Amino acid sequence: MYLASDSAAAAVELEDVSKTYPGGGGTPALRGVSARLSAGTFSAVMGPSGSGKSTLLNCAAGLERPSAGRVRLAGEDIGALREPALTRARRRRAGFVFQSFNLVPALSVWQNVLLPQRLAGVRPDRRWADEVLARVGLSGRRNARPDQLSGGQQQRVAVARALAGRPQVLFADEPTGALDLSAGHEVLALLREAVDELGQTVVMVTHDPAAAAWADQVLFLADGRVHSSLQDVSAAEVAAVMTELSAR
Amino acid sequence: MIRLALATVRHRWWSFAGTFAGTALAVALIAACGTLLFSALSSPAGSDRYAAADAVVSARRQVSVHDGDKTKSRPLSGAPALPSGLADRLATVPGVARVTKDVAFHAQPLTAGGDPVGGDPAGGDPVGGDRAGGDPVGGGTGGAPVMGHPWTSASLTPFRLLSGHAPRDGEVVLDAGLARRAGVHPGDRVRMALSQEVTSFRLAGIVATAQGPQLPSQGAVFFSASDAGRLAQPGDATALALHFSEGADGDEVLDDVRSAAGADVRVLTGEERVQADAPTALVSYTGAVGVFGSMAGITVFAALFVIAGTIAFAARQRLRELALLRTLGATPHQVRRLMGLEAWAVGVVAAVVGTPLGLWSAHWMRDRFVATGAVPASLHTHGGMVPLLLAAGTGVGVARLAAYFAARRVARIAPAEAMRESAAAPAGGRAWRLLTGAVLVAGAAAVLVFTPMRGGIGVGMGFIGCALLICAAAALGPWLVRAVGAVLGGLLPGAAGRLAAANTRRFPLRAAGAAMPLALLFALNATMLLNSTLLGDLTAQTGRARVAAARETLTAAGGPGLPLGAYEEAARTPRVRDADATLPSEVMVREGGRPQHYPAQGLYRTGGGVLDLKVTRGALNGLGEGVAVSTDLAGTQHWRVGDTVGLWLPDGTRVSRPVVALYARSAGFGDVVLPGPLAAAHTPRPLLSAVYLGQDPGPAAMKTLRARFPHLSADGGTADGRRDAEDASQQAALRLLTGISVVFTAVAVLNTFAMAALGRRGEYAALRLLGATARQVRAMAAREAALTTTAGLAVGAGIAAVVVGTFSSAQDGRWRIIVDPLWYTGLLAGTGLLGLAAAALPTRLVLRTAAAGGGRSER
Ligand SMILES: Nc1ncnc2c1ncn2[C@@H]1O[C@H](COP(=O)(O)OP(=O)(O)OP(=O)(O)O)[C@@H](O)[C@H]1O
Ligand SMILES: [Mg+2]
Repeated sequence: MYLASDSAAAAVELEDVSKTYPGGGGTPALRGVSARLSAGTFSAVMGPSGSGKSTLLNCAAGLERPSAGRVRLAGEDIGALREPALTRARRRRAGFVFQSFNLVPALSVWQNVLLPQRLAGVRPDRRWADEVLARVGLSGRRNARPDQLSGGQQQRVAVARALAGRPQVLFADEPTGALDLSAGHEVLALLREAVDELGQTVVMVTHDPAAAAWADQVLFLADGRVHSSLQDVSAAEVAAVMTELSAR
Repeated sequence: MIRLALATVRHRWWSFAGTFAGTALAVALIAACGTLLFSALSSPAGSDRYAAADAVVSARRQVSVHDGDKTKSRPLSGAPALPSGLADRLATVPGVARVTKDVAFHAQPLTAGGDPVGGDPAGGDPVGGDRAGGDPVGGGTGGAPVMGHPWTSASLTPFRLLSGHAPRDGEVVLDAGLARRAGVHPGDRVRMALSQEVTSFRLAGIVATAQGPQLPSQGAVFFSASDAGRLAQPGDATALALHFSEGADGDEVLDDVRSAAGADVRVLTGEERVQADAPTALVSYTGAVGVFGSMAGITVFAALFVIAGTIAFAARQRLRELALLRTLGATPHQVRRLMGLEAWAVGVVAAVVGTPLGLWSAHWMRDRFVATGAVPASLHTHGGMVPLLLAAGTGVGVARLAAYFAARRVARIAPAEAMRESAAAPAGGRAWRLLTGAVLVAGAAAVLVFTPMRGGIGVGMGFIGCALLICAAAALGPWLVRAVGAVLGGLLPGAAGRLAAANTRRFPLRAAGAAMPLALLFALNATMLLNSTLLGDLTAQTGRARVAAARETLTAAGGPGLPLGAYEEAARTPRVRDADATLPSEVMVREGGRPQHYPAQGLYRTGGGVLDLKVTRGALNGLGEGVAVSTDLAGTQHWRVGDTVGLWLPDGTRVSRPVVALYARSAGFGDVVLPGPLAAAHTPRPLLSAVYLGQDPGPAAMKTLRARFPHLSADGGTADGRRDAEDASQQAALRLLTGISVVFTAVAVLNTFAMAALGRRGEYAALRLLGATARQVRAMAAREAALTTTAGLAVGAGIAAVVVGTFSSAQDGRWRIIVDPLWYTGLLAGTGLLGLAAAALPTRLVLRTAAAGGGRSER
């Protein structure tokens, strides 16, 4: 099952990806998922709790290795890579925002933003980092420590950090899950802006229909399989599919 | 990377503080033990009585065994005789002006009250000297040895007359220190305890060196040449002092002297001259080396265990943070490097703090050990830089190595773990742990089953077995803790109890990290204490059984021993039919391609004898020219009655004698019984440790005996006073050693528990947010602590039971585990309470801050 038009360059391609956790009692978290997410778009992954959303995201981003199937990230087959080549591929191609605990508590906001580039051993692009920090509205807090920021501010720093490395794909796993409505709104707007103004590719896991409505397309998962995908949907339409999925 | 490492250290200071404290203490302890050990190995063996001689010649004091192309040597406790004619040969070497035959033999002045007067015991420390001076009983074990010499030897130091004149026949000259402590003045009569008799001399004069009234650590008595010749044994002339001619080239003369002297002889100059002095005049640091050596072994093991433990513990606590770094693009190599850098940083700071602390502790421990009497007062804490650098290097190195292994495990963690609420280390290490544990258990079993577990060696082997088992327990910790958690978990009441049991089951590594130091604390100290106590008890018991038949035991109060005459005189008294006298000595036998020391006794026997050595084969009464051998030694050497066996005596003489008897009661006595005269002829300072009489000689005979031997002490009982004093000082040293080890391991436990509690700040805060009252959280923590402590104690007690039981059954076939109920329960209760308190206090503190901080802090 393919998503988006075949003509656009694929940022993420999954081919028949399966994943079974060693400690998971043998039930697979993903069962033969195929998907293709185009570059420069904003995709949302939705599904009931335990349906394999996070697993899908991790496999797509190279954080976890699939048990079977192929994963291409910006054209590179990362399913076959081993450490440390996998980490190097991830550095170039992927940025991350998680639900919580995104920032290294020992480092300041500014240091956190530059950390991935420092780890990659490249000269940090300070001008760009400055700009993304300004875009998320935290230029004034560059020397603050993570525990001096609110949850929404922490999340915005995480987005800035992900953008600062100019990744080919930005992966976000429930980036608004721990935030209130307005803070969540801010973060989603930031992601949308990144897609529209910077041409960034964003893949976001969420279980909030309102959040999914910000995306260009929505991929629905159920029981580790792709259930369906929709383009440019409203929150109400997403909610309807989710109700159907949960009722099954 | 360095900046990140430093920032992390700053931020997670409490976690690093734990690692730092553990490492710094460990470095301090290793530095202290190393310093003491080096001090014992390099402390002056005595004072330079040959300061005025250009060179001193003495025989090589060692026994060598050639095994194939390897040569193994062991030092002798005595000194071989010099080759005959050597003095004449050396006198003809060009450049040698004078050859003085030095003679040194036991000769100790007695006070008017009959107390032996010893030399300055404190090795030149003026405070100690004064203290000894104020003590009228400055003899024996307390005071330094006193040696008699011919007057010609006085020029070697030189001693110069302060008053009076050189000794004529029947006269002596004392050093000023001895004269003061004996309270005698020139012209007075002074009684001298010699190796054969106690004889009265007239004090002809008093001498002193240029530095002071006496030599540090030995007293000197001078006799006329003919008296000295009469009193000295053939083995007492052990050194030739050389004076070179004016203007001769010293190095050239030395070369010529060396080639004239031959290979069996050492030509000593400078500081080394001391080593030519009589063996009994030299301070022996063998005991001190033994004490500090075993302390070093125990503490180095405990220290390494603690460092490695805290670092692994700290690494596990920050799994999540490290996983986050992995998602941000850190390669496993970078994570390893980060942890390595942190270990460096912490290790170096810990070493910088730990080494001076260690040096200070070394001084403190030295004073305490000297006070027990197990270590000579002349031991100076001057280990130099080597042990300090070794300790610092060990600390940093082990920290780095432990970090390497911890990081190897952590770096394998999947980066996706960062997003899970409770990151756990990958389960991949499981097979490794099982394998390591199995190998260590097998090693411990091999040590306990196949190595000799009897006597002092057994204590050492027990320690090795114990250390291996502790390491095995650390490897198998998660399973052991889970097993204890499963057994006890059900017993804990309430929601808090269920939570505690679940935590222990779910995070067995964390629980094991806290439980293992407790297991170490109990197992190590219990084994050490119980095995030594057991050995001491059994030795004392054997000793009592050995002398049960004695009606009267004569010893030298405050002196190194009784003259042979005391035995001859006592055995001659009409009522005494049976008598024994023992002359402590030592033999070496060839064992596994090397010479091996064994304690021995020279035995004099009248009538049927008194001592019951529990002869199992042959008979002691037929000792004659043969020897008797303990069943232990006979067992290792496969000797039987009738075999002719080869022995080296203390002066290096090789003898072959038939074995006439095997005996069982060797503990605290010796493994070889030599005929008395043979032992006396080859032992330096041949004095009797005790005379045992089978019948009461009666008051009149005792009075005569006391008059002739004023320092004689008769306790009517059966104990050997000197032996008891030695045992007491050894026990005191052992208690001290255990105390040091208990304190160190206890601090390690506190440290780990504090780290554990601080690492769970966030979890406690989350529980509070879920509606748990502070009380409930405390209750959960307390129950977890109870589980952890019980697990630690169970593992520790199990290890101690195996080791102590094996040791005990090797001694006399009985399987004991507790040995000393008071010490055992004390240690058990103390360890348990420590574990509970160590868990409760930091948790309380954390809860106070966690309640205020809410969920904002990380985790
Ligand atoms: N480390 C793991 N070990 C074992 N099983 C796992 C692990 N991680 C996830 N699973 C299982 O895989 C399945 C999919 O999990 P996943 O985290 O992808 O779900 P999800 O869709 O993200 O759910 P949620 O919306 O609750 O975050 C679940 O059944 C889960 O129990
Ligand atoms: Mg998820």
